[in-house]
Amino acid sequence: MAVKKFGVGQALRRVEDQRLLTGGGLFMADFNFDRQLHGFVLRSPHAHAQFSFGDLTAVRAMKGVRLVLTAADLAHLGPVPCLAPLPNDDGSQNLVAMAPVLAEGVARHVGDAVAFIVADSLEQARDAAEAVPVTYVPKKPVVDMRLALTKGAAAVWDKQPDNIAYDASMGDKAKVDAVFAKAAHVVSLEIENNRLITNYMETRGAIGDYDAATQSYTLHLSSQGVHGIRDSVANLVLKIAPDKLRVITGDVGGGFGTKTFVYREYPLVLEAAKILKRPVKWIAERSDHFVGDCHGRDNLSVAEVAMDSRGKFLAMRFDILGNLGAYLSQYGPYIPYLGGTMMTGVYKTPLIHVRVRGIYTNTVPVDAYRGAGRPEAAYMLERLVDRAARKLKLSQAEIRRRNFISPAAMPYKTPIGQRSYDTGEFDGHMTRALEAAQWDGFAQRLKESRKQGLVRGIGLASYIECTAWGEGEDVKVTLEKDGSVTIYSGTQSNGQGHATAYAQFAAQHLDVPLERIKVVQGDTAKVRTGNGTGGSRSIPVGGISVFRASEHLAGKLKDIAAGALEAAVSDLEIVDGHVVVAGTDRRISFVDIAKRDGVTEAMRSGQGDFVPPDATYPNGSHVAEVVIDPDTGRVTIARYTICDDFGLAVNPMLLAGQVHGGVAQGIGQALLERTVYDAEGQLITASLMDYALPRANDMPSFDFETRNVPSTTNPMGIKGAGEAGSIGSCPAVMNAVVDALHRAYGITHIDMPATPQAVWAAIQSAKVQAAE
Amino acid sequence: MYAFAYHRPGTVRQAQSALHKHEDSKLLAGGQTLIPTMKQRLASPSALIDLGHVAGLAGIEKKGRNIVIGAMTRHADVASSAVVQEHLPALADLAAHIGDPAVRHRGTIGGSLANNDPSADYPAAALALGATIITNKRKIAADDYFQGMFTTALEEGEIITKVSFPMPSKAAYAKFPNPASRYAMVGVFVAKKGSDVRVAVTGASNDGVFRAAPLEAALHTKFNAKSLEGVSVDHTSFISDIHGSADYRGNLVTVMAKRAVLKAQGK
Repeated sequence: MAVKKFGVGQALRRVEDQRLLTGGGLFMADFNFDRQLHGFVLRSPHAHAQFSFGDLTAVRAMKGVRLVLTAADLAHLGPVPCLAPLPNDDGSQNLVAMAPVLAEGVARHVGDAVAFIVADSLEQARDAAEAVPVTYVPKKPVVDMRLALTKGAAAVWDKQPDNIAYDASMGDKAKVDAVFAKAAHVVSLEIENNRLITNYMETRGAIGDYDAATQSYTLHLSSQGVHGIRDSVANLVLKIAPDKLRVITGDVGGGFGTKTFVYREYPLVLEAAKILKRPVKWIAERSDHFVGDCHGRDNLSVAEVAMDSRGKFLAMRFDILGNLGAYLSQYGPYIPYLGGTMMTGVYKTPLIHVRVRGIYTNTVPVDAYRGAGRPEAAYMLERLVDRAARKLKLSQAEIRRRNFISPAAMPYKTPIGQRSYDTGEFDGHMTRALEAAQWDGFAQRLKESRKQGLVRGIGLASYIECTAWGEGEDVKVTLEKDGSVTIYSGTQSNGQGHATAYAQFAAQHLDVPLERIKVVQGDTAKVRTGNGTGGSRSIPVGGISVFRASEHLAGKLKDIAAGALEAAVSDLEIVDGHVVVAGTDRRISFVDIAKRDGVTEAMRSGQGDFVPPDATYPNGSHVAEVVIDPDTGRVTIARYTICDDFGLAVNPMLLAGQVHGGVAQGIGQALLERTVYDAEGQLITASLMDYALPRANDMPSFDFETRNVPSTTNPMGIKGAGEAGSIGSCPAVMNAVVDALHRAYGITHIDMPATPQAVWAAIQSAKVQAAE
Repeated sequence: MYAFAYHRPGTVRQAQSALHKHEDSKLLAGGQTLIPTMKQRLASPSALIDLGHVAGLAGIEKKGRNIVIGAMTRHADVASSAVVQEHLPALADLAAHIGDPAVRHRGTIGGSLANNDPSADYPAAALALGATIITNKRKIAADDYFQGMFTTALEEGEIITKVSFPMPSKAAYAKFPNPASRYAMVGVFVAKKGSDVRVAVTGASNDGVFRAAPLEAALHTKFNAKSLEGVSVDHTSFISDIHGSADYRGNLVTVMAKRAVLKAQGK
């Protein structure tokens, strides 16, 4: 590809930053409308309870109160949809329990929405919520997944007394079991993937509006894409035609998957706006976020590998329990299953069996969170591989090297999950990562740490993930009359920098500076279709569409210019916002083209609609080196090295930002973030006083590099990069923690998060065992 | 937040009479605990009496062998005070690590001592240094002042005006922060003045800040981290929560005490 000053491959600074960093952003809470009212969700304080309302007349008559909605008022609305229910292996379908817009007589998790109050002010709505006469009769809650599966356990849903939402598997169990029965070595690992609470900086929020004259609704909300939410809310909840609902999203302060879904508050503000004929605004408080937004991860798994005497993987089997919470969220059931499809990892294991069970519990629903299943898969597999290496006394690198799928085997059909890896040089990445991490110097660094009374360890993870599969993106790029360029895109920036990256794709063909290119997104009235941002798809799918639409537009501009310049199209090139007859000074500016008589908007617009033929498979190796203070149990990350394969770097600076952020989230999960429910289903970590988010000073300095192998399923070779950081990091960090604890104390396992107290307690019990 | 009345007295006397006049009123002295609690509707005072405009309540001065700090002095001002840095560097260091920058620029020493949060930093300094809490009514020795979690010797209508810290020969504070809140999970302030050694612990106990007698005895024999080897405090009444068991906090007390001693010795 030709190098263009503002084009693909340049590490350009973000065009968004000046505005966002100087307070020019418009986030959900910044939007206010005339005659706007304020909504408040009354939430259940019980994990599982029958409830009933007393007489609401007095509450409805309170000062400023305009509306009190309960389930009784919403019988005409559909539930919050689950778009990915999964059947059992035998084809049968268990209960698909979707959340009603407001709970119908039974609250099924702490935070379950039981009433919606609208008042002139938020304080009045809160006052009214406190006055709502609601009587709860607590029922026995189901909190722990393993307990949920025991005989005689309480049931979240009477109609599904075993609490199993689905029981699905992939692979040939009999064959796998037969290999296990005869294998020289079998290593197994019981492992937890801790539940996470997203905690984007901007909480969710929505404003509903209704125009009685046209019977149409407008929903403003903080989201990861407006079109999917429009279709679900219109078709499945409100049961109206999608063209009667306009959905608008402004700046978004973080999404991480969690803002993809339809939530109850969206139909609630719309319904209230329709009844009251006034805009109704709802903004989540941080405490709403903890119990009202989907959580992430939360798997309990058993992973096993059968090996020959030299450590060659003969078969693997995985038994995954995915906590789905009380209701099936939009993609909730699919996430642990998606993880299951990635259990091959980077290894040529010929036989794999995966069983995945989705479990109902009286907890907040669980759904996609950065990586969505792939981090769970990579974590479990890479922890298992390290354990296997330890058993066979092989180095972390050696066991991997003996089992990597070789580049010559590409494209590689995985034994489960029906995947085809297009490219991947796993050994090359690992080797480079080890070199960059100065793995060979570890022994010396270990010695120095020991002198200081510190415990040191080094960990490796070689991951693969899948991105950018499924739907396409239909992008329009228009040359405006002032010579600027507008990109209409159905993906949605949550802070990643779409406006910069997309402008670079456009500049590759149109050669205009980034500040002359505008990205329009987040409005169903302005952008015809879209599939939102998620699955690391904005660049490998959306970007390709922008690229193609820009190429299409460039061709059209040349066609117009050919007439104006009386030249053959083949002699024309685009240089710095002009169409130029190559090798001459004859040129016409974009402005003159746009303003030319007879040039319609259609003539100065290009279309690009890239539908990916398959997923792309980013991969790489992370190396973490940790130092543990044995007196306090505190883990510090001393060094962190990443060597990734993203096929092609569109903007190396944005790419590094994505990776740094993803790794920071992974480090948070590995060392800090712990979601704790007590036996009664109360969320103990329901605020930032108890839920430990990573801070800047928890982070090491990252040593990040790419070793790109272009994807063969993507026209530009790009592999998605938005989630990869969160995928490689958890296993690398935890393998380092276990390595450190094993060297010093013989400890072979610790679950995430490796908090100071957990590490200290593990050391104490190892000391006691050693003394016995 | 529920509705409340707001008063802005100009003198301690006016503040006292406002406090007297309004039942269930609260003094606002930085508000870094009170305001969030009110926002969550967990506190609903009828009135706030803002001490932010009372003349003479903020400031730092050296008076003989004491550093005297006005009750409304912000943490950031204690941290950056040349007087404190020169004569009581351990206190400047402690103040520099309270909460986050926003907290340090709003929160005050008087507010912290009056609230006596079991995980707050200042109570450890006041108790270990043998400070005197000066109010509009009397002087209270730190040993008499702290009376358990969120409980102090302050009486109805009593307002802290100053805190006087005797200057130690050696002192330091070592804190192990709670991974989530970054409050002290255990904070140990060690102070040596002549042959007198005092060790105060915050964050660990259900009874709030306390003096660790076994550690003091060990350090009295020899002011050296090694003296604390194998010495521990009784942790039966310690806080046990998801962040740390009582055992763990008990361990941290000795570990942090050792680190404080090393720090006090400039090691």
